[in-house]
Amino acid sequence: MKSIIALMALVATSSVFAADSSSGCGMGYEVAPKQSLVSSSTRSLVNSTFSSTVAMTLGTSGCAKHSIVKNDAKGIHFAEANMNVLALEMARGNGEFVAGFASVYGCSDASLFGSMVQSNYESVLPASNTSGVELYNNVKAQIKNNAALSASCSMI
Amino acid sequence: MKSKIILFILLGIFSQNSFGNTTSFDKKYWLKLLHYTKGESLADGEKFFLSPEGKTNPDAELAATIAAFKNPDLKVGWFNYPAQCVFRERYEFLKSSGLLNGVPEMSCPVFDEWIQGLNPESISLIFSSSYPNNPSSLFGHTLLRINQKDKKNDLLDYAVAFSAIPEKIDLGLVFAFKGFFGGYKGLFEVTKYYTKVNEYNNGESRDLIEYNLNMTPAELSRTLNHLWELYQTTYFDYYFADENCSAVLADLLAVSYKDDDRVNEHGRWYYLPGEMVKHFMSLEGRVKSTNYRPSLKKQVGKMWEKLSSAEISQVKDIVEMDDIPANMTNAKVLDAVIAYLDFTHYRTKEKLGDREQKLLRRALIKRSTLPKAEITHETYDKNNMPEYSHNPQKFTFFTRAENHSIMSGFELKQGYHDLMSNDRGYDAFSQFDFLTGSFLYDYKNKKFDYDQLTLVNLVSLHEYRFYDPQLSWRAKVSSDRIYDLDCSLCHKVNANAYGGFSFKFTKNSVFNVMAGVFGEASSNLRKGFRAGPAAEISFYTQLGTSYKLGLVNEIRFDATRKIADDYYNQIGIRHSLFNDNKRDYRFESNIISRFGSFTKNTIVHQVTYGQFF
Repeated sequence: MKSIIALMALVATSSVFAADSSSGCGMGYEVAPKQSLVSSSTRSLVNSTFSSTVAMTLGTSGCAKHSIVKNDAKGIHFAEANMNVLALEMARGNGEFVAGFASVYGCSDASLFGSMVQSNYESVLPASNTSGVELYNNVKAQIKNNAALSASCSMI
Repeated sequence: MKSKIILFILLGIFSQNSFGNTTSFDKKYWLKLLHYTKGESLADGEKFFLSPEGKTNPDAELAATIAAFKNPDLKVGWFNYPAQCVFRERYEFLKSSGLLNGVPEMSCPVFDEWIQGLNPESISLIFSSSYPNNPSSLFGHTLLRINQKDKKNDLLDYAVAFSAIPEKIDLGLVFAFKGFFGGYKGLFEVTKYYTKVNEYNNGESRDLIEYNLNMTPAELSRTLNHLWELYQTTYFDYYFADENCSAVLADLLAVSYKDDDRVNEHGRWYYLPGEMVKHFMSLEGRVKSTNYRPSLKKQVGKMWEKLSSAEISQVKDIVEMDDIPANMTNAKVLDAVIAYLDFTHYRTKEKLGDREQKLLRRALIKRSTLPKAEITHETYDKNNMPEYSHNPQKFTFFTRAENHSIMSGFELKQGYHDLMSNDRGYDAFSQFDFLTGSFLYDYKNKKFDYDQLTLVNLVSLHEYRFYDPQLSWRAKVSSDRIYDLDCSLCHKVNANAYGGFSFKFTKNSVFNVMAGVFGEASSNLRKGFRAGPAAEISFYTQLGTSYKLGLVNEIRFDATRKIADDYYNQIGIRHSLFNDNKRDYRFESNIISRFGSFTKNTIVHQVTYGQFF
């Protein structure tokens, strides 16, 4: 009987804690091995693969990782990490991520920025698979074309 | 010889200072900086210690640290910086304690650049709710956010997470074993907060609840100095129970609030993320304000609530027919189509198919031609914050009538939450019980025995929705009583797993239909075991704020017997009353019936009083 209980215990434990790639904590926490700066197997879904432009890790060892995003790469990192949600919010013309995107160009008028990306949606996001770098550069070009907006953007 | 003399002198200073109280040396703080618990440091990276004995001898570590600060040529840590530039908080502390008089201060450009990049003003403790689809995230998660000065947007802040980093993907048993008994390294990670919002809010549909902490500039500075020295030098062996994200973050915050010993106190054998935030809320003045970020699932649900039934039909038509009418000008409908496709992408953890991808693109382009969306700030039910949750452990007394036998007993539950408990602070109608044992005394037969031992009893109910078509499921491994055979106080080992559908007719009730398999083993069974298909139908509702009702019928067919109609059925009604998060009263009646080769009925009535602790 004892052996049956032990066996049941093991089966239950292994199924309850069956490995997955999500992040959590407490008893039964697992994170899959990190593949890049901010991505693991789940994370790679929500944060698309980062380009080498934003390989911003200041120091990496077998264990420690830390990064401070430099100004010039800030926008690209932001665009790459948030492509999904940016594609949605830009079509709606506003949202927290659009406001954050405005901030990385130093644009103080997030509303004006939101209107610009919404009305130029197909120019800044020409295809479903537009990359983060392209998005970043396209938006930057559009800001430059827009006198009223670019006056409010300190990084332009 | 010379170094031994220096060490001796330094140890003398330390002992005199720490115990003689002649200067301001704060030994308790020194031990906090070294993460000492019960005479040993929890830090496991060898670079964290400058003395070979540092893990167990704080005096030797002090002497070695002072010596290292005096030696500008000595490079330490994973990245080989001078000791002063690696152990920033130790340096500041020992300097202010007067132990570094005359030691030239070095410049630390890399550290300065890091601080400049963080641009810190304050810290928030972030609680991520449990991940309902994933048992390994059932307890939630905690991380920190470093709030930037003059910020306009929280997303651009940095997050500090402590998490286990498996070096390779382990499955099942190895994972469980390593998690409980050690084998994973836990590391600090500093990353942009938007990556965490994406990961938790969107990727895993978990709520993020942000507790903004009151912190003086000195407290903030200690936090960051110490965080720096931790991830320049060390990892911590990760244990799911008590050396997890919350326990280690609490130790980091114990350095911030160095004179408040309550910060990292926890008396249980495990430490849960929800308990950490609850504990912080109970420390007066620690939490300044709170903020709530609903999960993507809740955002989509909210969006759905605002649609009329005609609009919902339009959304379904667009998704199913793959066609957006040319004259579509209803932004709400398009937003819902977009939200549906977006949520499907995250929910299924797969890229959208070609058809959906193209539909999403068309919907987005169309949407961009319509007026801007209104910014909606979802208000969260502040009554349901995790700090209001009941404690996870529970002690219960019960009295029971089983046909004509009267019994009394008690139950000890290690955790965590069940379907009949007060849901305040938890996901409504969820259950994860583990390590529960009950014992009883049968007055008629004058016999004391165990009643039930539960390893795990998990129920995950998901309302089946168009935008979220998920199955509900439950799994249990336990040793239970046998009621359907002619034996008294006899037991079986049981394992069962069911899956099915849940529907909600009102916000506070859920109806479930499930089917699955069971297996039972017992020496009281003719073959020693029985197994077969099973089904369960159940209804749970909460009426008002202090009463829950549960109705359950479970039927099991024994497929190992020749008589095909051998089965037993259990029907039960459960009532639970609770006025607060500390205790509840329950009344439960069950009829367990046996049909087939013979017939038997056992009627069980039970009254319980349970106290959470």
